[in-house]
Amino acid sequence: MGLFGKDHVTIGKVETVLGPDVAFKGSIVSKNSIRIDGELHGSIMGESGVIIGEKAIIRGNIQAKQVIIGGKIKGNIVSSYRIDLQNTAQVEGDLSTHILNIVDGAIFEGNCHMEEHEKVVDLPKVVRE
Amino acid sequence: MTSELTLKPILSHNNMTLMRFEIFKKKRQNKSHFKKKITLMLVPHDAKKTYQLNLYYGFIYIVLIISIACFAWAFHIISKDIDYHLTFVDNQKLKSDMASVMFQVKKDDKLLNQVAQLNQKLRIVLGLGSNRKEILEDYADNKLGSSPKQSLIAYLSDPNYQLTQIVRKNLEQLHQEALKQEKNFKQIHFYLKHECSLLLAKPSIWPIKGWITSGFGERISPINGQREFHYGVDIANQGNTPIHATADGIVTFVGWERGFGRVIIIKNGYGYSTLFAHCSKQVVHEGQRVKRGEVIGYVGETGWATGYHLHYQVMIHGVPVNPMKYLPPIT
Repeated sequence: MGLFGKDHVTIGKVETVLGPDVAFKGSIVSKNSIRIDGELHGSIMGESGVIIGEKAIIRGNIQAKQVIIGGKIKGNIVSSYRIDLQNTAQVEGDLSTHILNIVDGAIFEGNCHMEEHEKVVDLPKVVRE
Repeated sequence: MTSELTLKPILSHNNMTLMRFEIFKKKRQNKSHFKKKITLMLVPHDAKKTYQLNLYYGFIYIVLIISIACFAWAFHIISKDIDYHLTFVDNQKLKSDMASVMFQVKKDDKLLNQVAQLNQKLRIVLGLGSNRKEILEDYADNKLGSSPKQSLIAYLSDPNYQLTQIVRKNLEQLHQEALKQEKNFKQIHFYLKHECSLLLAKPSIWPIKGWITSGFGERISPINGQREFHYGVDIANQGNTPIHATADGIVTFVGWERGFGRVIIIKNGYGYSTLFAHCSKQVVHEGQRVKRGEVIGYVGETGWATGYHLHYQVMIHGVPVNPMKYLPPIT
């Protein structure tokens, strides 16, 4: 798929960026896409997309429509549409997705459950306080 | 924002996972707007590194100004180029137009030359006419290829000529030439008209068909047997043969004269007048304009006549001349 293909159609505007020198504990709920480059101890629930940078280290579950992984993750990942494991990705946990893409060099230890159809629901509501 | 905020993570000794951020407020500095900083972050939509640029506002402004200037310059250049090309194309078109006009002008010039030659020829041919001298004088005046025109044509072959100027000059020249030719032709026309009316005024046909019974000159009168001078010719034919006017003119006399009987006199102009005598009938009246060949009366034997005949007399300024000169030879 090309530059403007449908690959990243669910990754919209990246609203939140957790920088590489940031450590965070707690769960994150975001409506727009979110990118994490630092350390996170907690779960992420995104309505659209989640990007895990190359140097990110995450302990916790991720739930989103599309997840792109380039860093280390210890936890389960549930995606309603697609999971991309890039060559620097190290995943220890179970995956559940409709489309799975694993690039050469990615490390994945765990079970994988493939959904036959795109899940539509299953997304958490954004909580705003 | 007048101050810059920096975040410093500090790991607490008790709990490694807890993090505390201390916010240090930097000293307020009276920086100008240009010295303030801004961070531009590029976030790729995959796991690759993000890019952060820490820039001064001033730098951004400078870059913006430079890029705008570049764009403006490029636009200016492009528009100039377009303008240049448009002008170039226009110029080419004008040049070709001009060339065609020049071509036409040259052609016209040639044509006019031919006309002038024709004029000359006509003058030579007509120069044999009455006002020959005058026309020949004009002919000398009408010499072709005056020097300025010749130099102009020579100038035209030069590739560095000022096109419009030359064209204008040449057109002016052509105009003058045309006017001259017009004048010349008017002269010829006038001359021809004159010649024409002269020809019309000159008696040149037989008034009636017939045979000449008595010529111009001295003779013995058939009436009294004495010598007399006969001022006309007698043309005999049957009575009531129509008499035709021998030239255009105005009837000046219709009536009876002793000896001539019924007589008609026509003034033809250019000094010519014609007299027709012994008519049986006159069908014209005084003051009437007649054309050559028009019937003016009928042959009779009025006056002193020995039979049906027409006495035909031609006078120049009132002096009778030999009408035989004005009768075409019978073929």
